[in-house]
Amino acid sequence: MGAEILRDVSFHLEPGSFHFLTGASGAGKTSLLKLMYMARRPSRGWITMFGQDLVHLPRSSLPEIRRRVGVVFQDFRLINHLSTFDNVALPLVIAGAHPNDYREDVEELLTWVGLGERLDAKPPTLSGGEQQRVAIARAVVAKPDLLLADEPTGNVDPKIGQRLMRLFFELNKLGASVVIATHDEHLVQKIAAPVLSLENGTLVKRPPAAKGA
Amino acid sequence: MLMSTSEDPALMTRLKNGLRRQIGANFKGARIVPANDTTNRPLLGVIAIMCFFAALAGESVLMINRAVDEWTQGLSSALTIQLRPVAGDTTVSLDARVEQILKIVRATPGVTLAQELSRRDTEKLLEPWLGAGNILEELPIPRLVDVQIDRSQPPELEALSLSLAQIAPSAKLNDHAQWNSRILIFANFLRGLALSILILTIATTMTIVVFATRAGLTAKHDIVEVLHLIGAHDSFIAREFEIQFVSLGLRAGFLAIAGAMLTFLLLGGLVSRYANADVYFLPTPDLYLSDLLFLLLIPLGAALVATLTTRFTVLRVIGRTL
Repeated sequence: MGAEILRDVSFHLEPGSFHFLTGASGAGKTSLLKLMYMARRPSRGWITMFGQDLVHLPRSSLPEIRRRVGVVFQDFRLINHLSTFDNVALPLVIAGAHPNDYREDVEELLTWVGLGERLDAKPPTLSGGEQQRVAIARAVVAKPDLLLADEPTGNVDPKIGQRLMRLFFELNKLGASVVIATHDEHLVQKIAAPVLSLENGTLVKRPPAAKGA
Repeated sequence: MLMSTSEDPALMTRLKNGLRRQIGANFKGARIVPANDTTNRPLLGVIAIMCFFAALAGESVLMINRAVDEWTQGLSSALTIQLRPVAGDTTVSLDARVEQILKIVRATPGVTLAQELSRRDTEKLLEPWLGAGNILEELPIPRLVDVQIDRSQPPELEALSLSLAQIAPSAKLNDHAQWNSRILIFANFLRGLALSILILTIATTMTIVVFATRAGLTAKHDIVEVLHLIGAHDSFIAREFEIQFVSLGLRAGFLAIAGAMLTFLLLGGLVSRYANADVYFLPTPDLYLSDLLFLLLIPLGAALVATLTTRFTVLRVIGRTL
């Protein structure tokens, strides 16, 4: 067994809540997110999500829960040979939706994130910021109940960053819980949302920062 | 004057959208898990070769079955009566005994034809051993009577033998049962061999597909992981890989059919060109309807084997992940 990355981590996310997850590099933010999007099971402890015990749930039941979780991966994880449109539509394709039913939604969403003219572009031809926006669009397209975003505004300019944050707020308003892992203290200060802070593998909860502080 | 569509961007967009709706698919129709051309091309060749071997092995079984049917049918509807000259027996001439035998045999129910083989025909049968023209007039050659019987109502052979023994003790009735059984043993051995080759080619194809699928899974690990994490069921991922192998199996199978048909046509040409009395018993490699139906099963079988193997491999490999 390797080193213990997280311990004494205990928190509850209310439906429709909005949290930041902060911590220094290597504090375990990505590991905690991986537990939440079911890329890992904890070596000990307990995780429940949407009323299901993730630790003991058979793996055949995990896809249905994963579909309720939108994830913005730190390294985007776009599929390079698929177009921007196809990448974003992927969660809907997997859920069995017909192209006619999602085409307009996907186009609208890509327009919203500023990629309306790049529907056919392949990820390798996009800039880092554009790839990140595609990754965000893919995470939100199926209107998940929980959105986990790992440094979602790290590669985009402040103006686009604000626009993306608005997307998260819109999703949050629709009832989704949102957890945004970030280094960006400025962002945390600007947006009054409770903070889950990882320090040396343990979790400390902090109340929302004073807006505009 | 017709207006060029390029002058009206809105119209272009509407047309584009309409076209997309008509296609009813993704823009590029790209597969989520793309085929790997660098490995799939040699794989196509290898699976096509396996299919070719399977086609030859399966065709051999069909050919052997046909040949055995022809041989045994011909033999089981024929009897041979052999009358050996006995030194010192001068009471009745051999010709007279043959006449008596023919009379009895023709009167036996179930016999459709009975005729004596001429001395020349009998000598021909001995020529492969003694050489043409080496058979002396004085050589006491047994007299042979060829009897054709009605297979649906065969004669009582034991009774016939007893009757023959009374008029000619040296007469021997041969129903070719021993020859038939030897042919069947040999044919069954050949059938077993061909079926073993067929099974081995299927097993080899499955092994190749397992390795190819594993290599594909390793090469496409990133895609598989993304699909997995955004909620794809294992069967969805497996299907993405299966689609490649269905097409691969079908293409390989059709290539193999073409190769097998060409081989059989060449072989048929050779046999008909060089066939003579020495090889008259060889099965003719003609293509019958049953052969064509069997050959059509090759691509379907290859696609099925490749698909099921891929599915099993993908499910097994990704089943080990969370």
